[in-house]
Amino acid sequence: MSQDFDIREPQSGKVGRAGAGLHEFVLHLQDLVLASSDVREFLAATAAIFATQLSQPGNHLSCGITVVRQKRPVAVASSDTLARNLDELQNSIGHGPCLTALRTKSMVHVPDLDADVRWPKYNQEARKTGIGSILAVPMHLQAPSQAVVNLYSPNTDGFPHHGMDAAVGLTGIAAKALDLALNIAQLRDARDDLAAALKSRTVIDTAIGVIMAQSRCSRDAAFQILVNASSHRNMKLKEVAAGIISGIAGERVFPTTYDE
Amino acid sequence: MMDDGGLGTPQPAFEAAQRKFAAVQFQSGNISLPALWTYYYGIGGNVDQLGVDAYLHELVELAPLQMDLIQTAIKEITADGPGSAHVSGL
Repeated sequence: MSQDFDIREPQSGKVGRAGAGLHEFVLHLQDLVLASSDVREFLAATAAIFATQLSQPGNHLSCGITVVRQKRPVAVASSDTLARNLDELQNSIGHGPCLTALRTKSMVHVPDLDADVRWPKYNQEARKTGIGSILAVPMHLQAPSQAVVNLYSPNTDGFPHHGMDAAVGLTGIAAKALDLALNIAQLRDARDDLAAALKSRTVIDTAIGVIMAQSRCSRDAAFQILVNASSHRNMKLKEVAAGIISGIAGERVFPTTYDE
Repeated sequence: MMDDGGLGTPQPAFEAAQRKFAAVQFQSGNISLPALWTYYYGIGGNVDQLGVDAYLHELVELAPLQMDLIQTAIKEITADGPGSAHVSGL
């Protein structure tokens, strides 16, 4: 990954400005990872920063970010409705520069939509929204996640060399923040699932004890009775178990010691 | 004492079909292995995650009750619709 890239167009007498912008970008991303309640929120804010950081006077960019896992899109976010519409258009057609960037894991540049012949159907539709050029930069994430940053410019040749370098640089940095956000989300979900499992298991174990006492049978036999009852009545195992307990004790709420 | 040896002890052919069915549903149901295992544990399952994985890949046999519980877990998760036992919970 290139270490020296400019966020803004090179300007004489402003040495160090790009470095300061980059520093702010990293801090901003860290804040977002900490403050966002879910990955979608994080992505939306990141897409907005990309659009702001990479836009130039007279070249206002739109940005969309798509995250896929095992080839299924799991989160999409965009800086504005134009980017969202273009991302959706591409997903509905099923081909286009951004999907190609995802599949090939390499950057795709469409300098002039009118002249491009690789995705005729998409290009034709995209042209109607008033954009002239596209840059799709893949984000390298921990497996099995993948992501792509889609940048749309209203002008043809909207991505000169330094613009592309800046986009690649920002994408590389944002990838780490996105990896963190995805990890946190996954751990949070696993924690929630485990907490729910402990609660549900308590209810079911209690009901198993009730069935064992009533039917004078082993634990396994009691379990089989519960499973059969659930499948015959087409009710969830936990609901049948809760019904058994409330039938005896009248309890409807089961306090567990697993609450934090 | 009830004869629990007879309970849930299906024919070998049925067992294989049941596992195949569970494996196919698992793959098409958009459920991750940790999410499936956690749910299965929550309804009283006793086999660890590796054992459930091995069962779904047709490498080991499990007690009939444990197979029923895996089946039940898959059924209940799929009935809740994708996203209930999230692949990633985004």
